[in-house]
Amino acid sequence: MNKYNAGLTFIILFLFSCGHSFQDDALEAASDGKITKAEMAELVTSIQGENDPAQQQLFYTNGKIDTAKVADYLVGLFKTQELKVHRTDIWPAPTTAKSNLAPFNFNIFLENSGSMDGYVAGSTRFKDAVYSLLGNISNTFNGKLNLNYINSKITFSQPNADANGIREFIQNLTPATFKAKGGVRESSDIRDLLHQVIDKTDNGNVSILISDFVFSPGKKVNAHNYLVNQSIGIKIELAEKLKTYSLAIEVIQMNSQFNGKYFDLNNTPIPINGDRPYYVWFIGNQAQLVAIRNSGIIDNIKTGVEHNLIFCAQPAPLNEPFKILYSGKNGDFQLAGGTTGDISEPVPADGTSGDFAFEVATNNSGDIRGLDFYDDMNNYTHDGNYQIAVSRIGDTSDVITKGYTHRIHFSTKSLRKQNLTVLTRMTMPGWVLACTSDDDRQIKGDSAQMKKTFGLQFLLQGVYDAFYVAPHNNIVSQLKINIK
Amino acid sequence: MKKLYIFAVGGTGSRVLKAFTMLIAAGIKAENGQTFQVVPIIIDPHSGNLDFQQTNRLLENYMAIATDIGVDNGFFGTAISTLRDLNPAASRLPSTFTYGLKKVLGAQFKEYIGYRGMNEANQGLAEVLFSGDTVDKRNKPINLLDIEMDIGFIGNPNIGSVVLNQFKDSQEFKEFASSFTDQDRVFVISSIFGGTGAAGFPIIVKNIRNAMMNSDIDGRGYLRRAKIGALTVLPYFNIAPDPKSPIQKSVFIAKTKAALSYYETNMHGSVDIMYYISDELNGKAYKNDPGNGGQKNDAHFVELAAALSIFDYMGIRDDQFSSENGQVLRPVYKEFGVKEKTADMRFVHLEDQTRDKIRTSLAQLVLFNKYLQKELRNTMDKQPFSIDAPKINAALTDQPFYNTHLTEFLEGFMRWLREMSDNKKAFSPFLPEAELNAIIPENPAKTPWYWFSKFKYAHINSLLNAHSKKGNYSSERQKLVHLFYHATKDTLRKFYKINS
Amino acid sequence: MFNWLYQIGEGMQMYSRDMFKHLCGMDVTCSAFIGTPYATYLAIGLGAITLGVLALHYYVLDSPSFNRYYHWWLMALIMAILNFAVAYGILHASIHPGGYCKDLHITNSGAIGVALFNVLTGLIVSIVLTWIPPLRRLSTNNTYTTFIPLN
Repeated sequence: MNKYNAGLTFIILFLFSCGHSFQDDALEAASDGKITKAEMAELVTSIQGENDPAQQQLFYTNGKIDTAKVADYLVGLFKTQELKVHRTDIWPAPTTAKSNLAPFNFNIFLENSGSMDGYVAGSTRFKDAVYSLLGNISNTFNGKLNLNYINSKITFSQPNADANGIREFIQNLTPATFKAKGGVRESSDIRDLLHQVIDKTDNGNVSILISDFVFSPGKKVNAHNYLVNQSIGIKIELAEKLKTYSLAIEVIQMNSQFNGKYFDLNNTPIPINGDRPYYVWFIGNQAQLVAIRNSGIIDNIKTGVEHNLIFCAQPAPLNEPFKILYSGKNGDFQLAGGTTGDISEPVPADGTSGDFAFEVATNNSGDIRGLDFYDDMNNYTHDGNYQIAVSRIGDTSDVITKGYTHRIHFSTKSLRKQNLTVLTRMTMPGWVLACTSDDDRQIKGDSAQMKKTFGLQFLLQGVYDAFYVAPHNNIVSQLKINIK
Repeated sequence: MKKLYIFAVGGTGSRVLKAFTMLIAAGIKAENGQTFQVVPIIIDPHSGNLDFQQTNRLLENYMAIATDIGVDNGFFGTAISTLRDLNPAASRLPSTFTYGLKKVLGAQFKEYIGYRGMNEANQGLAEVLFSGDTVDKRNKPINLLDIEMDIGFIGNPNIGSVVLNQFKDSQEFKEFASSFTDQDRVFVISSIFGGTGAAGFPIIVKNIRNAMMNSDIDGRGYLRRAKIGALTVLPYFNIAPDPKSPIQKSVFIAKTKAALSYYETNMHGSVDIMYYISDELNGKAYKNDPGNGGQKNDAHFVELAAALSIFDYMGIRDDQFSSENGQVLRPVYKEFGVKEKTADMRFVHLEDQTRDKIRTSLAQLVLFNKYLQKELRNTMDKQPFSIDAPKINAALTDQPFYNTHLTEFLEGFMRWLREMSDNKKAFSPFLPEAELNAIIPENPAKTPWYWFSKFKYAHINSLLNAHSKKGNYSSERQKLVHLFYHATKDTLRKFYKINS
Repeated sequence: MFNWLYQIGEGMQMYSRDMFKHLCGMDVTCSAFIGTPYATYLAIGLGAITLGVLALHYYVLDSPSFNRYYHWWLMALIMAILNFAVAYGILHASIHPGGYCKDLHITNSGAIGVALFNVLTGLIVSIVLTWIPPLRRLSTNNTYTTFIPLN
């Protein structure tokens, strides 16, 4: 009997040693409510050297096991089992994202040319918005807040404003103050304005430019040619900066009451009273802009933002992380290379010759443009054989799509082997054209014109042309899926 | 192989030889592992004697079985042979175990001695020597001289001794002598109270020792110093009194005394080892029947015990015999005893040595027979032991080996046991017709308590299957016998708790 | 380790491809095959029960009263019940919400299909193992016992 016993034991042990799984080991280790360093080491050992692409994606960074990724996975896993084990219970402790960002200051440039008087006459939303923004900045960031008036030159500076300083600044926002601070108030050379502001922008200083951004070419000047020149000039200005600086600009449009003189394309003052748009430009490097966007100082502006538009330098298309899902499929397929690999052995849906559909989750949270950009179907181009539909992933508790922001649904009626590419492109959003006025001489009494800004399109096109150049032009991100 | 010539003289000789055959069939062997080829020679003119016929048939069946399956086994494990088969090419004897006394068939004694041809003086002498009355085979009173001898000498050894003297001139004796070697032994079985046996024993021994004087005989030097053992059976059964029969119980004792004194004077120094056995004469009386059909006595335990002497004799080492010039230097005399005498004897009443010698083997044969009777039909072609080649199936049971030789032998064996158990004094250690686990009353078969089932044939089947797996058999007949020998032995050990 | 075995069952359409993926160990987050390898456990259970019942019949019980072909089928029935119960029990316990990848479409009838596959495999293995003589020969009283009468 002895040799039978030994043989049997050996067989059982051998077989059960193949019955391990990372998931089960992890759940067992978590039974005491935490994952210790030793337990993490054991878990890591079990996935060491795995060639499976899916596991590579899940756990590896640069070819080595990343314990932070493992920990993130475990959090999701424990959530599915309703275990009360949180990220802080798992070794290693989460590192607060150390920001490589050097602290930076805010230089606020408020254009005080004559066309701005109408925004500061009386109690206006303009003032509220500016006050709100400055307050947000002061509450959220540690850098200095330097307040300036600017037209042809910086006509006033209040460096390092504190709460009192901000309040005082806002209280002083009156046409009289604007006038008193001087400078060339009759017209705005926007290009020049931008030049001054961009000059002051560097890795330690973010610039925020507040203006109506209305071009006033003047009587003697051909308006169209003027706009074109300005546009080109702005493009050159920005392109120059872009050579040495990772420039990013966010343009937001807000509305306010305007009661004062409006200077049309002939620079003829027209008294108007009503709501008018104005713009705030946030100018800095990419990291600063990301920090500003993530901080919520823009979203928390009391009066609310009408539109925004983001420009940033991008040397090459982004390859955002993605995960091919099993849900929402029509037909069937294998993922031999894991969820980031190729779709292999695809089979059309039962009863059809080529109907096939699948879904991919993408994570666009790393893009400065924000998730709204990726919501817009107009921003996507793709191969002809497939239809795509994009939706935001709303349920952040769903473990399968945790960490992903959008879901793209691909469908076709003729399944075949092909390499699918989906691109997102940066295009000028529709509101820009809609808010552009090409002749503002009849603005008084024209409610439609009241909402527009003369030459806006040229202004922003100039910026656009500076940022989106060949060879990739305006491709923002790309997603490649191979159907084998 | 060395030989043991057994001269079974008279009715008692036949019956003891029968018992001996049963014992060797059961697998009993001599002590010390000594093996002999047994050559039985039955001497009894009473050819109609039922005992004689039964014994002869038994021996024929035994030999047929043993020749077929070989003797390197338990059951039927001792070789036997006729005189003829010792040298079949040259023998002039028929293939038989008997010595046919010449001129006894249908002849009267007076014819045998040539009374008619004698002169008057010799006739008168003959009448004196052979005076007295007796009965013939039809129970009519006649003169001794008129006895028809083919029913034996009915208690008249004086007649027997004359007639049996022809033995030394017989072809049987010649061939016996020429086949006899220095290593061989002789054993003579006789009764002291009968006619044939009482006469035959001294004559045979004398003829062997004096063979030198017979120029027709080869090898007479060997015979002169041959190792000779003898068993004399003293009276052990009771005969119903019958005034018309020439055989009387009262005469038994007188004749025993006369014979014993003759032996004392004339046999001392002729026989190396002498065995005696007897029993009290107050048992169940047998019918007094001298005639054709003869003294048909049921088998008796004394015969079984007597047969044990042969095993004892075989087990004695050669160096314990010594003789010089035909004289035995150290003759030995042995008797048989039991532990407790009762009217119904079983193993428990025997001495341990006797019990150990016979109990297991006899029980094995009983079990073997019971299985063949009750269970073999159920297991043929179903159990592995019967399916493994060579197969034990209907083809085997149709062979003469099985349905004649083995069946007859076993029937004879069971009858022998029955007769002993019905006799007085009875020997009934078995209840062959009882339930399987109760066939040995002193040792009922039991299974371990955790088996939760009582002993049955399935347990024997398991042992049969186990042995069949290990064994290598040349034929299905050999397999049948060998397999059951081992399986019954294991069965007795494991379940009946009989280890020896 | 035993995924190949259950691929056969999937090929026979006893259960769906999604169930097969579940058996291969798709984890609950639908990320990779690092979840519980049910295929291995089911195969171990199958092997243990099949070999265990055969060993019980041929070597432990090994009874001359229990060696006909219908006794073989009785043991096969017991084996089938055990195989079914264990396989179904293991799988059924895993198909509760949170116990498997949500994107896979897994039903109770799939679990039944897998259990039946185990029963079928156990039966085939038993037939093969008891048909070829060498393993039977290790028994004493069942050397000629298999699914049909042998002589």
